[in-house]
Amino acid sequence: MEKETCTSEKLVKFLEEIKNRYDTGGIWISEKMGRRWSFYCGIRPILLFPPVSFSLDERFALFCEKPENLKKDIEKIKPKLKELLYEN
Amino acid sequence: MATTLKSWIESRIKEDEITKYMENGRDFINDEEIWEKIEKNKNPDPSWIREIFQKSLEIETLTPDETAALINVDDLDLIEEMKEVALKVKLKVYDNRIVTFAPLYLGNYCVNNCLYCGFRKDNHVIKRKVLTEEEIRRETEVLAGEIGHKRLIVVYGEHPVMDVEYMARSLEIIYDVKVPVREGYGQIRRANVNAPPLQIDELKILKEVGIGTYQVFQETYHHDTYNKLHPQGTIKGNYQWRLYCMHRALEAGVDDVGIGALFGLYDWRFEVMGLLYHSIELEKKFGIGPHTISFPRLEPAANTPFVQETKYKVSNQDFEKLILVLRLAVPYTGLILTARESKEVRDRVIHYGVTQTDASTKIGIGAYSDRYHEQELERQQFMIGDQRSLDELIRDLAKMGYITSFCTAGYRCGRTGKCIMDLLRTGKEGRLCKLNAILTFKEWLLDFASSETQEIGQMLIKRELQEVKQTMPHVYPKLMEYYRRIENGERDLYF
Repeated sequence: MEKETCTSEKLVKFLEEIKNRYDTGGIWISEKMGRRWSFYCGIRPILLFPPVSFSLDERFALFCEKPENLKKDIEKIKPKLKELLYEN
Repeated sequence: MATTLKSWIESRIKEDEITKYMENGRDFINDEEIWEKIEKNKNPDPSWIREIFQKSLEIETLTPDETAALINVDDLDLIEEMKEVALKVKLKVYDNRIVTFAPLYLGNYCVNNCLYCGFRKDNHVIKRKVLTEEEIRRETEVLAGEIGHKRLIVVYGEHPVMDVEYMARSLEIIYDVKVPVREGYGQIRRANVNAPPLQIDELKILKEVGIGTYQVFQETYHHDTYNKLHPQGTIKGNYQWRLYCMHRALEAGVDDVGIGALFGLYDWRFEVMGLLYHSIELEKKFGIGPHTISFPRLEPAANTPFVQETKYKVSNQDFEKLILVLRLAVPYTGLILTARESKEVRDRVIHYGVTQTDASTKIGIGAYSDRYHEQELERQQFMIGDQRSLDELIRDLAKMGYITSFCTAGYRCGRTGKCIMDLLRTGKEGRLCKLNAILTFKEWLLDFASSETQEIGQMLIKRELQEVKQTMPHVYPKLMEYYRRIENGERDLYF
C-alpha cells in the first residue's frame, strides 16, 4: 500500500541527472492541488535557497533551488520529464 | 427528510475501506498489549530513560516499550530533564517558531450522539446553525483581514448539510477571500480541516481543492470506552471507520494528516500509547507519520453531565507529562496546544515542545463576524480557557523568545508529505522555518500588529536576523533582500 505519489525510479534518476548536470541543488516535481502544491517526487531541498518553479503543464511543475544553469535548457528537458511523469 | 437522513447515514460507512487495511481481521490497537506495556515498564531504570532521551534527540520515533517507560517516570529530577530534552527536540526540528491558527466552525449539526459532546443530536438546548456561503465569506474576512490569521482549522459536523460538496465549496470560498489591510493584504493561505471520517473518493475531492492537514481525532483509542461513549447505530459508533480514516486520506493523496485524542474520556496513559501506535502504523504503511498530534482536554459543554462525572479527568500535572511524552515519542510531529487551556497552563507547557497554537479563538457558529464577545455555551461545543487576541499572544510569545510563524511556504512549492517528513527528521525544516518565520512575522507586524507588539516583535526579529547571519551566512543576503522587499510592500516571499 502506498500513498498515491510517484514511485518511478526512472523519473527520480532523471532528476538526479539534471541536478548534477545543472547544479540545481534540490530539484523536485510537485502536483497542483487547488491553490497549493503537493510533493510528487524528487530530491528534497539541500541548499535552502528560495525555490523557483517551471511549469510543466496544468497539473505539474518542476521546482529547484538554483535555476540559473537550468534555465537555458529547460524547454529541451520538459518533453522527457513529461514523458516519464505520465509513464507512471 | 427523515428518510433522506436515514439513507444518508446508512450510506456513509464503506466496509471495504476498513477491512482492506486490517491485518488478520484486527485493527492495530491491542488494548491488552498496551496495558501490559504500561505495567511491564514501571519503575524504569534512569540510565535507560536517558538512552531514550538520546533516541528522541536523534529524531527517531520511540517504541511502545520506550514510550511506556517514559509514561512511568515519576522521579522529579528526571521529569525536569525530560522538559529540557523536549524543548531541545522541538528546537532541533522546528527551531523557536510557533505557528498560529484559528478554528472556524461552519456548523453544529450532527447525526451522532456522543455522550461527552455538546453538539450531540439529542442535545436540544443547542441552537443549530450552518453557515451560508456569504456568512463563510464574512467570517473569513474578519479572520484574515482584521485579526490577521493566515491559517485556519475549518470544523465540520457529521451531517448531510455539511457533506463533502459543502466542504469543498466552503474551502474554495475561504481561499478566495482577499482583504486589503494596512500595507498588504490579508488572505488565508492554508485551510486545515477537522471533519468526520470520509470515504476515499470524498477525500480526493478535498485534495483537489487544496486542503491543508486533514484532522480527525479518535477521541479514545480504548475499544470498550469508545463503544460506551459513541452509541451503536450511529456512524461514530464504528470505531474502525474512524480509526482508518487517515489510511484512506493518505491513500487518496492527502499530504498531511493530524491525529488526536480527547483526554478525559479514558486513562491518559492509554491514549498516549494509542497515539503512538497510530503514528507507527502510518509510518509503517505509508512512510509518513502524522503531521500533527492534538491533545485536547475535555471541557464543560452545555447540558452534558458526562463531563463533570468522568473519572478520567486529566490533572495539570499529568497534562504536562503527557505533552512531554508525546514530544519525545514522536519527535518529528507538530504538537497542537489549543485555547481550551488557560493562559497559565499554555504559558507553562508551550516550552515542552508545542509547535502550534490558536488565538483570538471563537468557536460559536458565526461568532467572528457577529462580534459577540461573551461565550455562549448554547452556540459552542465547549468553553474556551484562553481568550487572548492574536496580537496579545504574539507579544507574549515574543517576550518568551518565540517567533510566530505564518509560513505556508511548503504549500507554495510542494515541500509536503514525505518530503517534509524527511526535512523534519534531518533538521533542515527547522532552518527553513526560521527564514520563513522571520519574513512572515515581519509581514504580520507591518500589517496587523499594535504598536506595543511591533516594538517587541522588531527586537526579536533583530536577534533572529543576527542568528541567521552567523549560522546560515550563505542565505543571509537573499533573506535580507526579501526582508527589504517586504518592508517596501511586497508579500508572500519565501524560502
